[in-house]
Amino acid sequence: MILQRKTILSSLRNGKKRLNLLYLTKTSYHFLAMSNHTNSEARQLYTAVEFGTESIKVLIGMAGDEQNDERPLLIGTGETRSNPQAGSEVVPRNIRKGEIHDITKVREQLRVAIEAAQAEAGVSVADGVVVFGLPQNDMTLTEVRGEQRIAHLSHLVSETDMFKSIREAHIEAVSLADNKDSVYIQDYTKCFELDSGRRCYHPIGQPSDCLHTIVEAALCSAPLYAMLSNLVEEATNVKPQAIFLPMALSAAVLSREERDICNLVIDIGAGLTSFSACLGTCFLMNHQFKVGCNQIENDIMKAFNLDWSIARHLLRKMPGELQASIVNPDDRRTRMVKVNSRAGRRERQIPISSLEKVVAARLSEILGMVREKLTAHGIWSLLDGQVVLTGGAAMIPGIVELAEDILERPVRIGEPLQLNGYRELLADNPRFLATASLLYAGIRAKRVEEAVEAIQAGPMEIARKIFAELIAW
Amino acid sequence: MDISIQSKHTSLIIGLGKTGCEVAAALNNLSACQNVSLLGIDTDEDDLKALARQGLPTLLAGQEATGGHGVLDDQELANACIADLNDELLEKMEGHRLVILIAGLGGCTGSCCEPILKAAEDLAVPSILLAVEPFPFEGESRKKRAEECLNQCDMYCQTIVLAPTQRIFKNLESTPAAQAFAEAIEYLGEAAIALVTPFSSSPLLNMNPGILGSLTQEGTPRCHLAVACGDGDSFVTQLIQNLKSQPVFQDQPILPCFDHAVVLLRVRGTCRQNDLENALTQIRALLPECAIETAACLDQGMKHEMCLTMLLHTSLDLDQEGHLPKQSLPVKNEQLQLQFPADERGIFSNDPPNLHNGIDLDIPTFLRRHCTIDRGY
Repeated sequence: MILQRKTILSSLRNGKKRLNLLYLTKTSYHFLAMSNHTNSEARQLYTAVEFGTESIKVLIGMAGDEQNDERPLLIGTGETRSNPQAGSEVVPRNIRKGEIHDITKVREQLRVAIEAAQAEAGVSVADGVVVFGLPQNDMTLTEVRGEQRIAHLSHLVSETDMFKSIREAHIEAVSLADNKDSVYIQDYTKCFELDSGRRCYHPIGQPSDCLHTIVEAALCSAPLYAMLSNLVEEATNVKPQAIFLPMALSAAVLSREERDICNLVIDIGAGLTSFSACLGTCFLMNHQFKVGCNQIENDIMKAFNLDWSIARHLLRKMPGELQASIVNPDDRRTRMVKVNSRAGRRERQIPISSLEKVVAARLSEILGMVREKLTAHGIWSLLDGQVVLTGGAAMIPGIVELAEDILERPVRIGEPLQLNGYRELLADNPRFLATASLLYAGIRAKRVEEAVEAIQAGPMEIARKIFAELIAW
Repeated sequence: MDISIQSKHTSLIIGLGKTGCEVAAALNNLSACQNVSLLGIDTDEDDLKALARQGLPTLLAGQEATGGHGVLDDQELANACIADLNDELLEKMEGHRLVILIAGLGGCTGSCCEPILKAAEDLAVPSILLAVEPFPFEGESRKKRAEECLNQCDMYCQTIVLAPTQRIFKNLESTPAAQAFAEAIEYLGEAAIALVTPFSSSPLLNMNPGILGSLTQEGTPRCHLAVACGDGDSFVTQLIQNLKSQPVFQDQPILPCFDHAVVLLRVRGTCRQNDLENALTQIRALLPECAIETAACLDQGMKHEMCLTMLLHTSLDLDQEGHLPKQSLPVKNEQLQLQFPADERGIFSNDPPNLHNGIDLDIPTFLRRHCTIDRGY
């Protein structure tokens, strides 16, 4: 361990990966965990719960041994329909657009999902840490600043200045939830600002009298947080930790190398579309739209005058039985699909090209909204990496080509690069990637929490050295 | 009012003066007007002969008084010439259920609408005056003459539809006057086709017998005309642009001004019910507080894929320059949104609007983008 630290500090002095240090906040402190965990602790159980509009997903994993570069291992999965009502006119009732409407039924469904995951993993979630995702619907995002005067005669920003600035911003963010109405969930660094007003992402070595760190604090209303927290606690018997869901999206799907450049992760779920633009450990933007596959299904339903259940079925059949692709050329009526428009009515034939057209129109709009949002905030031009697609919509054939056309960036379907065991349990299933990222983010968050406590107990110089270790992660 | 769609020649289109006759001649060759009677009336024999060679039935006015050489800017002579046609007019109008008089106002013959409309009233045949006012470059005297004509016609004509010459001229400021006249003629022609087609062709959607009554009901003031022709998905957008570019609406919130609208949609070739419904849904959403009557039909002879004509009626009085008075407009301090029927939101119909940049994301994208969808069979 000592040798490793020396190597890292040496790298720092040589300027290698120095920039990664700039984005540290509470949630990015996870790297500190490596210095605090023994091998036995690293094997701690983690459970992630996601309340999706389509289904409630539970993943159980085991933290890896970071010192041996071992990834967390996924050992159990559980999934239940969020809206299991029977009948042809089934529409989302219990969870709609990421919001829980019927807590009693959701509680029942959550229990079923947890039991399934426990049975598969052969463990009890009560023995570990439990995290759950909070969508942006339920959150208030507030921008706060931390300020650090540059005391050196050279007036060049140093690592220590940067760290102090981040810490000030973090304290400011936590203090936002001092009243009883809201609960602090997380914060993340967006960028730095020099005294000239110029914003940057790499402030070390920049001339300035003062360094501002701009972080965004995610706060949740206290009653809502209590409801969700109690819901999960009742089902797991563990006091859970909340994670801001859009922020976790990139956790498991980006490789370590990819984190050095600016990437975009887009998760198109049933009720929500979330995206996160991240650079290193800095989050340039996390956002959600209340639109997703449910709207695609609704579009199909309205376009062809079908039952919603049949529209759902058609969308899910696109990759396989229909052999459809949303970027397929318009071949008019050469391919038809037979459906029953309404229960008891005659069989109809629908051109698959029309189905593709309806789906492509909606997906184009969603992806265009993401681009528009990032452009409006000046982030789009910073994206020099890949776009990673996750969520149920990532299974729609042709979405990669469509996204490349609209976003004009290389696009790929997400994979859980930071998790082991995923392929064995959930082969080629991007629907679970947000939950997988949640699990990985939960592991990081827990370690960060422990590390922050260690930092607060020690002097600044020790803290700075600990942070230096993060760079080698 | 009982309308028999199958009966032929229920409408008579009369072109009056040089402009009106040219519009009538243009309509004569269109399949949409096969079941419509056409008639050109003018005082210039040479012009009429040229039109007659194109197959347009004509009626020369004042042959004895003018020698067939026109009235030469003598308004009184023109009035006398047209008034002398009373018997012929009654004969021509007999048996028709609607008379549409097309005229370019401002000229001597074209401004003699009153005798013709009076003859229609004598026969109890409803009449619509479809007219184009003088262009600004034609001078004050012609403008004054047109105003006098309109005032006289108010007494006999149920509805006066004015083509927006100011908009036409604005678009053609840098082009020759001849092109402006040609544009006006085309505009009047499109409007006339749209007016008569629902009564002469087989309707496709919502053939509303009330339309004729709406257009010809007693006391209906002047209407404003908007015509949009286009191909594919853009025609509704064109209509809205046409509306907004008309001088009468400039700097005004146009939508609250109208209390009655008649929308006529013609489609060439294969007609998709979904397209028609989408178009009409948008029109209804655009004028949420306006009573709207709609009709749609096939017209194989059309130049464009679709043509949408909208007649808008307002009870507000125009000022001397033809603008809606600002102080009389109802003002609403709220953002105008296209309100789609709740049914379009499907499973989200009971949810609050899911707004993003003023757009309700729960409304299907293909509807908002006017995508044409083949629904199969």
